[in-house]
Amino acid sequence: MAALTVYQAKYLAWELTRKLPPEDEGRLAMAVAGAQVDLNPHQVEAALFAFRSPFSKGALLADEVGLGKTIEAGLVLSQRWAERRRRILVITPANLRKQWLQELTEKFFLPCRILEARSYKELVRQGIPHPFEADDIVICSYQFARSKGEDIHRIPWDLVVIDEAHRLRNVYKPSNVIANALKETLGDRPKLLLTATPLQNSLLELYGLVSFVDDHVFGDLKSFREQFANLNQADVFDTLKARLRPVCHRTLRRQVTAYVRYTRRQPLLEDFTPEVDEERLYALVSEYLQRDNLQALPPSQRSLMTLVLRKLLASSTFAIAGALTSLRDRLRAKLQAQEPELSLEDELDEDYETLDEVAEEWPADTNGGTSSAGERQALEREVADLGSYIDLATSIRQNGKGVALLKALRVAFEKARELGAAQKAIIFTESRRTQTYLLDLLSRSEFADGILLFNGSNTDAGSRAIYQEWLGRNADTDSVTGSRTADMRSALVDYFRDQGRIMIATEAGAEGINLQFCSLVVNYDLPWNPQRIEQRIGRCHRYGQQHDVVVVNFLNRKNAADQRVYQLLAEKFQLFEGVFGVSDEVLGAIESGVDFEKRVADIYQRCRRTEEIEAAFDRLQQQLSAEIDLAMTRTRQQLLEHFDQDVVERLRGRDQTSRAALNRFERRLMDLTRFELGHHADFETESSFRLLSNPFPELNDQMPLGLYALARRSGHVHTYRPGHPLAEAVVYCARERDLQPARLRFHYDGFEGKVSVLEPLRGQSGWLRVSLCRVESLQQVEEHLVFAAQTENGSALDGETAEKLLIPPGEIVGSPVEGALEVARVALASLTDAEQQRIERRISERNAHYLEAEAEKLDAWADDLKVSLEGEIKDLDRQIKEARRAATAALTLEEKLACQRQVRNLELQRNEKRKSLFSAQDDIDRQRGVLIERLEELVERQASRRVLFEVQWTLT
Amino acid sequence: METPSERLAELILERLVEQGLVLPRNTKRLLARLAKGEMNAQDWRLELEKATKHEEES
Repeated sequence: MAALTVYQAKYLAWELTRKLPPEDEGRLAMAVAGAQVDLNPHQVEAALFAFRSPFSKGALLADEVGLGKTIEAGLVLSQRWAERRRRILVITPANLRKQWLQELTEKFFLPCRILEARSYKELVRQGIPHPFEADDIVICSYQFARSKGEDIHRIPWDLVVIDEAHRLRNVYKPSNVIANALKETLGDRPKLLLTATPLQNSLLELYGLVSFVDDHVFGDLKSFREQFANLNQADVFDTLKARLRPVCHRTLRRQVTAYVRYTRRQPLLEDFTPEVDEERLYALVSEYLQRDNLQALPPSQRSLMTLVLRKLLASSTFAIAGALTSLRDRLRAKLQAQEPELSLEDELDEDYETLDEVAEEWPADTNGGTSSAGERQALEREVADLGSYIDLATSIRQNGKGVALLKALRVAFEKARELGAAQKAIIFTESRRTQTYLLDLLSRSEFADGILLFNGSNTDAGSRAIYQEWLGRNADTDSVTGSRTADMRSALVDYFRDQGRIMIATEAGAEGINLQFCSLVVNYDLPWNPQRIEQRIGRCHRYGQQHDVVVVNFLNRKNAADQRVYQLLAEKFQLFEGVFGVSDEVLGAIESGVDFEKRVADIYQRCRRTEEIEAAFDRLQQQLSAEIDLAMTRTRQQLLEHFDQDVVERLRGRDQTSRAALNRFERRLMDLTRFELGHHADFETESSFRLLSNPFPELNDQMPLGLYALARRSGHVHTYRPGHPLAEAVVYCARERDLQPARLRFHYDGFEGKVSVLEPLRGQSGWLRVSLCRVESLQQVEEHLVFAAQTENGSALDGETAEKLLIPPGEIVGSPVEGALEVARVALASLTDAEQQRIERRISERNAHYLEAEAEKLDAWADDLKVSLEGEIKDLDRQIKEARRAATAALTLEEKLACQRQVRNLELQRNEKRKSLFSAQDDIDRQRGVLIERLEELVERQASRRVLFEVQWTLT
Repeated sequence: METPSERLAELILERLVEQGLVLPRNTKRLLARLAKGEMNAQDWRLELEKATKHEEES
């Protein structure tokens, strides 16, 4: 647009910010325009699906792994945030909290924070009694949400997102404590459940998850069982599918290959043989950990601490030496009756950084071995044993696996060269001490150049130098957030991308970072939790990766248990090969990654001989196979998935419409900004400008001068997005400007495009009124711009043509002729009324459709409950028949009499049930009636309208 | 009775704490290990990084 008037600016400002109706394609445009991520149509589709109906209590987004469910949720969250519905809670497994924080902050600019025991206590200490009542989005773990149920319950959340929601699928079983507690806590708050595996072992799981979202989709468990037990009947199947459709949404990877490029994973396994002393150390520490009585480990945490020590033992001799020293020093202190300064968990956590996360999900041991404290001799013996292990560990200067690493890196870099990928590798370890060892090892090798560390503190000299250099380079850009932790992470990732060659990272440190420019992942030590491995590989094998990702693992061929764990992870979970990474089916089969880790740890702890180990792993493998129910997988496919062709076509349409909506939104935002900033900015391209001076001095600190570009354009500028203070100020100015009636001249020739409906109007003039109509119904507000226009000779223009008058460049040429406006107003008012009536009718029809769908849902719910009651009578009928048969078959008089008595009792029960059935059915109908009444109240509409401006127009 | 090694370790730790290179809460734990020569490169590095992080956070 070449030139605007304040009238056109006001129109644009309202178009950018008005509240759109739920079905409007442009509804997500603001969220999409503000996101620093390339969005795919299936993600927009899923986000629109969630809460499509104003009656919706939520949705279950069940896309396959790798389709970006977090992005889908991010879009919904952004939308909510923009609507100022900001009480938002994200519940996620502990190890994904940081990733959520990172994604929401960096990709969607949403303020959020993690709440866990420590930060909660700190806030309470600071005098904040209810830390969940926050101004930003709260992220917490399942366990923490459960433990703070009361706190969470009292807040009227606008949205609760639950990640990895398959953990809740057994909520129909009273034994699933966490799921039931969360259901109780969250009540009917709007929920978004995310899982790739909503259905694994039983159809009832689907019932559980759907009921978690909305208790009125299905009746009770009994009626669900009764009605949907036999899915072989086509009509039963179709009924279930139809009832799931409004709540569940699932897209498959094969349906989006047109938009998402998938690369493969290639495994590279490097065998190694530990040195003699390493092997001896392994055997000694293993034997120590298997002892019945250990003074060094707290009984309630015996299994958790044993797991950590085993992982450190497998990591490196340096890692285990440090841990053993901690154990020995604590025992020494105990001998001297001194209290240790830190708990063992805190001490080990300094080296094994993921300990706090594992501990959150690890249940306390109930019979964790007895500690016969007070036996001084036993304590002294243990101290001596630990001392000898420490001596042995510290005498070992080189690890067999370290040597193997150098060899593997040579091969892997060669492979990367063949694949045309960058010569970059990320090496993961679970231990800080091992990380230091690897730094020393690599610094003395041919890989000495371009090494950097990444861990929970990032305070080493190398990282600090990288950080300082980065700060200097990125001064005055949005890349600098002001948070040292976040900026340090960005600095290290940027350095790795631009100059580094090898990043040695602890997985806790590297959680949530995106390294799609690197395609070599080295697992120096291997977590047993498959989800953790998936997280590691997923740093590189993700959207945007251009090459196959080589995954390097190490295997001690002398260790039978290590071999079996690797086999399970590689073959059963399919973590290291293929296109899509971890198998949904297998991952979904286990309750959680920690659960699997616990089962493996148990085998290491119990089994001493190779045969025992083999047998135990055989059993574990069988259990996993049994948990993967193929029949159920097929059912899931049929129930939740739709024909590929339909989905592909729908997505193609969605791609076009959402792109068009986004382009329109961004173009309007830039046009408006150019007009409002005037000489304060220099517009370099259609998507960027340089702010030369500040037009809003009172907001100086929030809008630095410099280069601004729309989201997803470039990393080294300020991101210009709808939520940016500068954009908000620009829109506010234009929207709230008080405009008196004026005469405007629009120049059709000055417009670069073609608007066919305007061509016949060239040379004509007339009147235009733009009003804002605000309609409130179903607890939602929607705003419509109403255009009323006519020509001087009195012919009315339709709303669409009237709106288009504002497109060509315009200029203000004076005030309307006195008295003429008053005359025109009569016609404009009646045109506006007619247009508003049309809008309200559309809303009414749409709401009727929503109401009907909701009423149908409640009818089905009520019918379910009646089926359940009738089922009880049928059950008694069946029992009566059986009792009669038994009476006939009875041989003696006594037996016959006893059977007859039973028949009589059952008949009495049945008759009672029949009598109560009617009143119970009435009761259900009453409940249904109350729910419908509530809906009717919501449907009531309230409309208001105000004139934004009136102009006398001429089109040249 | 304090040995010369322990006394020396105590003095060293005092200086390290002053310089912000070791966290005060860890001195008791480190004292015996330092006196006995049981601190290796990895241990020192971890202590140093913890202390630096603590300082930066506060």
